[in-house]
Amino acid sequence: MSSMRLVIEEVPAVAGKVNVHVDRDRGKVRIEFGVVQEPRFFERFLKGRPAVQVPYVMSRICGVCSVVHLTCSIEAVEKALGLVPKPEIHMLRSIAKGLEIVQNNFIHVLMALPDFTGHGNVITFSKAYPGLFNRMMETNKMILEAYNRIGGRFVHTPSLGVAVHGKPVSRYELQTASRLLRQVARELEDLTLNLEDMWKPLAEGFTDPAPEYCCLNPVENWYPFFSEELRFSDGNVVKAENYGEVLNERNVSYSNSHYVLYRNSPFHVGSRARLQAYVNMLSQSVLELEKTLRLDFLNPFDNVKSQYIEVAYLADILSHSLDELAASIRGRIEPFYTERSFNNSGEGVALAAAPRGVLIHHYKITNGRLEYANIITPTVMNARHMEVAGEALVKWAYDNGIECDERVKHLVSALVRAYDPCLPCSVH
Amino acid sequence: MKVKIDGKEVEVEPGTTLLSAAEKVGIEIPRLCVIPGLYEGSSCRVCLVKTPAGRLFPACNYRVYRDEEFVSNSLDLWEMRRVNFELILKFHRIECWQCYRKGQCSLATLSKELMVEGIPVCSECPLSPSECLLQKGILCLGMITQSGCRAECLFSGGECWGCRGPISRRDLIERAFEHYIELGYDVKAVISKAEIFWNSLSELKIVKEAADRVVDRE
Repeated sequence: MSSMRLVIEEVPAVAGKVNVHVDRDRGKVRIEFGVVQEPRFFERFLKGRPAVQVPYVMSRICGVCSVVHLTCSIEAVEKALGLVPKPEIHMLRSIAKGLEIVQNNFIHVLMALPDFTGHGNVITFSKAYPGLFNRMMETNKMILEAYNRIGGRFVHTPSLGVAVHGKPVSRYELQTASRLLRQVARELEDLTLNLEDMWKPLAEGFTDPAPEYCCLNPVENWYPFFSEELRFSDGNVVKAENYGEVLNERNVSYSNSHYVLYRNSPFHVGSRARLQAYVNMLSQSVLELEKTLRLDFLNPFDNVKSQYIEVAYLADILSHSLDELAASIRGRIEPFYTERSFNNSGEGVALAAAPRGVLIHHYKITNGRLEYANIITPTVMNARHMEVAGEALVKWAYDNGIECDERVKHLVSALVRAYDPCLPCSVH
Repeated sequence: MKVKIDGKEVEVEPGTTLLSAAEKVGIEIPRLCVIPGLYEGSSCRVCLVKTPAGRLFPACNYRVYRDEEFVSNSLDLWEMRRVNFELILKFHRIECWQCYRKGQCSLATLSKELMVEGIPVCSECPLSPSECLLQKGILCLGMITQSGCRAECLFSGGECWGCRGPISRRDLIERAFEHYIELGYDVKAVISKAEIFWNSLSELKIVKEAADRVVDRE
């Protein structure tokens, strides 16, 4: 095997700056996935701030998936302060977060799809298939409209706060959101017929070299948006507060972000990991969708297909949850405020299902002020797995006669995009 | 007779005001004090227009009796309207948090149009003074934050976090802090929340000084 050194500077179509170095020398391949974006020190500068302000600032870690950072942070602060919100408020938060996963996954599919259809980027794709592109954008608009009915503004939602849900939600709004989601589910079924042929497999036959996965442990056989436990594919179930015992955080010299390993080995979090774990919960129509798209759970590129299937599944279950909630309330859910004497002390760890995997917020609060914060984002959990998969991909490409530098670069960039299109949260 | 405003010609009856003539051709001239048929005293001078030679007239009570030409949209006119409006605003005791004219306030609308700062977010808040979040124990920064965001967070059910920066009028900031203290809020807590978005702004010093003056007086 000849030697090769490739540098992909600032991988295109990815939010945030990431450089990928590929070294291939005498049969050995080494990939360095270096996030070169400046660290922002959220965990440090929030020290000493009133805990009640923390979630609102933490949501600024990412503008794309702000809802999950906001809700996860709220849960962690509430746990630390010993606050328990009303069940319907908790339900609304879960639905808001579920809707965020739906919207984020759907947009990720749209951004990654041109890699599979051979159009390079979304602009070219939209010119080649204007009808399909417009329908996908309309679907996205419907999802955002459904979110608007529940939580209000999508980016950095102001109505969600510690022991607060500020937006009154009427039964009519719940029913409208449910109707919109049913419409989204129908639209996805139609879109699948169009996508079936054009969604060609990228690197067919390439398999995940480190098939270790992690997701949230379901509560009462219900798709978990929040959970008290982590579940690993080797059968290990870990309580939220013990996450530090199995997850090791490491610094690397070439990246500004951490690496997180599971017992010193790489693991994957995300839609592919979730769907594999929750396959028993999927409805018949979703399983058929999986067959139509020929989803291969062991191919890392099929994370995008998993996201598409997850969107269809979540749109379905969320519309049912909204109907159930609408039937259980009288008139409307009133804005909810608790008496704010937040001077308690305590420690709280919250686990949440983020669009890209599992999110952990861990706080220690003393006399109502933040003393310690640790945030582990899905991107840092996937970082090492992405490198290992990339190394295997370059070997696979060489074994299959793909030696052109540009082709290898394209495959590695597409792999990064399939894992995660948004990296700034890794340097929070 | 014919009147030409900003190059658009319109035929009007003798004695028609310039404001009505402009409306006929779809030109919107800002105004504040005029109530057609009731008061046309041209007190505010916000509706100033000029002739090509540069003579200024208030459009609300200048009546046309011959063919004439006017300019209603030029940089110097906007600047003069802005100064006139600022002078009016100086004499207004702004306490939007106690006012029921939410969303229908001409001063608030005009301040946005003329880009004059000094009106707080409370002017755009959808909650009436009796429903104010401050009374529910939620520390909202609307009273000391510059308006212009259409109170997006308050419409979504949240509180104001001050992302648009502080208002510049010291008397208004002082009155706002007096109100915070009256409602039982700690001034330090207000400043701490304001620091989230204003930490790098030089105006934060003005806010802190105003807060100190109020605390000393109390």
